[in-house]
Amino acid sequence: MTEIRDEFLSEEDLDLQTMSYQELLAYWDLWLRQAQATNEEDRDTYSHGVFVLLNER
Amino acid sequence: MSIYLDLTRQFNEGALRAILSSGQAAVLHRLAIMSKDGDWILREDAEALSHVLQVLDRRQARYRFGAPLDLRWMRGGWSAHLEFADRPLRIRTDFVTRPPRLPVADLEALWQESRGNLIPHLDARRLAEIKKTNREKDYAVIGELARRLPEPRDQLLLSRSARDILALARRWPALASELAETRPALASIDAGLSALEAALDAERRTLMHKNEARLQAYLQAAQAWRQAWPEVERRIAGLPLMEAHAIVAQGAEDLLPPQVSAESGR
Repeated sequence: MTEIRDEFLSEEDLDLQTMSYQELLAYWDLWLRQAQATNEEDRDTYSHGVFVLLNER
Repeated sequence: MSIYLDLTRQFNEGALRAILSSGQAAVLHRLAIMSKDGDWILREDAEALSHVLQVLDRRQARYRFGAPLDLRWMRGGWSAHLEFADRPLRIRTDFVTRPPRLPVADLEALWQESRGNLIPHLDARRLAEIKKTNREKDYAVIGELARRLPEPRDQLLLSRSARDILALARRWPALASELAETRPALASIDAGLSALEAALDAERRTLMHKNEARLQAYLQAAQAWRQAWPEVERRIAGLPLMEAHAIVAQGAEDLLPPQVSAESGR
């Protein structure tokens, strides 16, 4: 019987473990390119550090 | 080559100065790709900060609103934020020297352990500590990171899965009992799965609120600087980064307190 376990990440994320290093780099680059689509939307936000938002909209 | 690996190499040319952190470190741990911005922990010395600024100057980076990349503010836990275009990418580079939730001794040990690494990046245990933010998605990363930790002690202290914790406690009951003093949620192990799940949920909420309180203290302290920023931004527009940096640092002297009280997230 297969035990149920808590899952935290998507299948897509978990696939990163099986990629070769070159595949990981290529996928990482592709992801970053696709993520540029939201640049305008997150223009004033911060991902890290102690600042949260530049302008209240 | 990822731009973030490229930058990490450039930041560390000739000396260890920068450790890739947060989301991009999570990629190197093959956990998830969930952030398009880069975050580094910098060595807290003037040469390191100056070198990083010079690398970014060559990239024609500009300051975003934030603290100057200057020891006076970095020592106080502030973060500095810069941005440049690497067509077609918008690259954001975020820096701290005092990351939250890493005690000074642990940070010093991190620098020792990172010596000789081609791409210095945060290890799984410390990355899990950094990820105790006020964002739900970071707790999923901690949950997966905890499974990859070699030491049962660290797994017990960081796991987000009640099932995993119960399994760990069956194998190492004395250790689980001992660690309940450090992590109170573990005291619910004997009460079973549902009680432990509830304790983990409550713990997550507490951690999120603690991080919010920390951010709030900085937000409050940055109010005057925030108001002045549009004028500062106008003055530095189009200037080379090293010139802009001098203006930003001078402007922050009177408006951004280097030290923030209630630095409660550490």
